[in-house]
Amino acid sequence: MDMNRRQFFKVCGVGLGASSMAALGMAPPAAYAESIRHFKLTNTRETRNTCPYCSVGCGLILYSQGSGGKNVAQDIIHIEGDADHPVNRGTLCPKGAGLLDFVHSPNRLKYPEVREAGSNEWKRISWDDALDRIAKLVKDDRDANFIEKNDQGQIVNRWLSTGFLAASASSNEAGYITHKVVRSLGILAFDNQARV
Amino acid sequence: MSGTILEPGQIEAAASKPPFFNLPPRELFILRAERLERLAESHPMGDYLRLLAGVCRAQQQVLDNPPALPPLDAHRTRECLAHGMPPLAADTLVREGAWLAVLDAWLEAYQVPANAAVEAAIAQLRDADAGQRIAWATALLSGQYDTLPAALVPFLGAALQVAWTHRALGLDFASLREREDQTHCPCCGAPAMAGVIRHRGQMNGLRYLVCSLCSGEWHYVRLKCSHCQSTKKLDYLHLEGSPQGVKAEVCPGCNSYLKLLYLELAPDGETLSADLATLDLDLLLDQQGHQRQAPNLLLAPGGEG
Repeated sequence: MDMNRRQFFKVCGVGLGASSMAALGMAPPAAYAESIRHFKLTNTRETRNTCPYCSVGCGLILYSQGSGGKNVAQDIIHIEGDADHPVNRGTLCPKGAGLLDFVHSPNRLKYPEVREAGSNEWKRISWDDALDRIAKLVKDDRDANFIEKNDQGQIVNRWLSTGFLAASASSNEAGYITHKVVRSLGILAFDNQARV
Repeated sequence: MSGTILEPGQIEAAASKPPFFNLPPRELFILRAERLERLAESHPMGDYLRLLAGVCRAQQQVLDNPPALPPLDAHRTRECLAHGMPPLAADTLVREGAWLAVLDAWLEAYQVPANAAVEAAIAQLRDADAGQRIAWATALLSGQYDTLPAALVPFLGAALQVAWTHRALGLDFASLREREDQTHCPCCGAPAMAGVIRHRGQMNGLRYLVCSLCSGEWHYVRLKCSHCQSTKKLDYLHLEGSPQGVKAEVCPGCNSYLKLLYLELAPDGETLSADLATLDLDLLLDQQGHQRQAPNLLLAPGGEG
């Protein structure tokens, strides 16, 4: 069958007049095709993703709706397991099945907060402050506790007083960079966990 | 989806591979007829849907009592299945003409309604000789809609569908292996009519493409254009509330679209009838400049491709 010569299956208002429907005297009135012009098309996007909860990494399909524009933020309306995904074949555990509420939770952390020592109150701070603060605390701890040589005088470059927890739902490249950063600082306690 | 009812076999389904190819049910055409009749009520194209319901009833009669057909070449079937070629390749078999007996049987079974245009079309089909019928059928199956009379299409298409469904139901597809990116029917090589997203049991959430000719269904990964195999930025356009559970998967890469029937949204839906009952969606998508590749053999669309 020559696919190049295959015609499009073109259902159009003008074309209906030459369709089987019209040839058999059963076409809808011309006003019908005209009225369809005013119907509104809705756009539901479907997107593949990976469940963030655990290291199993179940496949998901996220359904979202926007107001039609190309760069409009999409609102996620439904999440289900991806039946094509070889890990979970469309199934989800109860936590995964509740992901939609997780996405829309009013309790989601949206900005950095700090609770000072001795205080019971969380205070909002800027990203710049947060990163400066983390860097300073990390450096202070490393300066105080870094072990360059062991008892026998061998160079070990260990930093045992800080651990690092990274996410497992990240790409190989992100994993490689995380590993490079953490190990080059001397951190030994290093793990990946998915709920980050 | 939330609130899914677990079916027997669904939990262990995760441990096994879903079937690649599903044959249509034996009562396919009567299901279509009943569905079309229901959809025809208060539908702007109700007359046409009712006409097709009658066409499908005759299809079922022929499928239940098929005429004797010459046996298929067993060697060819075996080799095709072993090498991933369609054993009932439409482009060859349509020219060999064994299906003409099915067309005669269908014309026999069809109760022509009292409508001058339909009577004329049936008479034209009845009077045509084998060469003319094969030429029309070849044109229809290769998508040359403007080279045969539009009035004949639903009747000729119906006969072709029964012929291939009957042949397909008689074949053993156990040795058929899944191939990725199968955009044509692994049974007859015809393009898909539409897709269906299954909603129960082992196939829950999987997309199958439904063959326009033999009505077999084969698995095709979701969120992937069935024409150019792109997975980028696909859009799912539908009318408010997606009537009949139908959405169109629009690919910005090749600008074509495929209609999908979400059985979860329309549990008693059937692909061919859902496709024909949602031509308003096609009209709208055409206005927006999107193109449809997928044929429906019971309708000549009329627009110049």
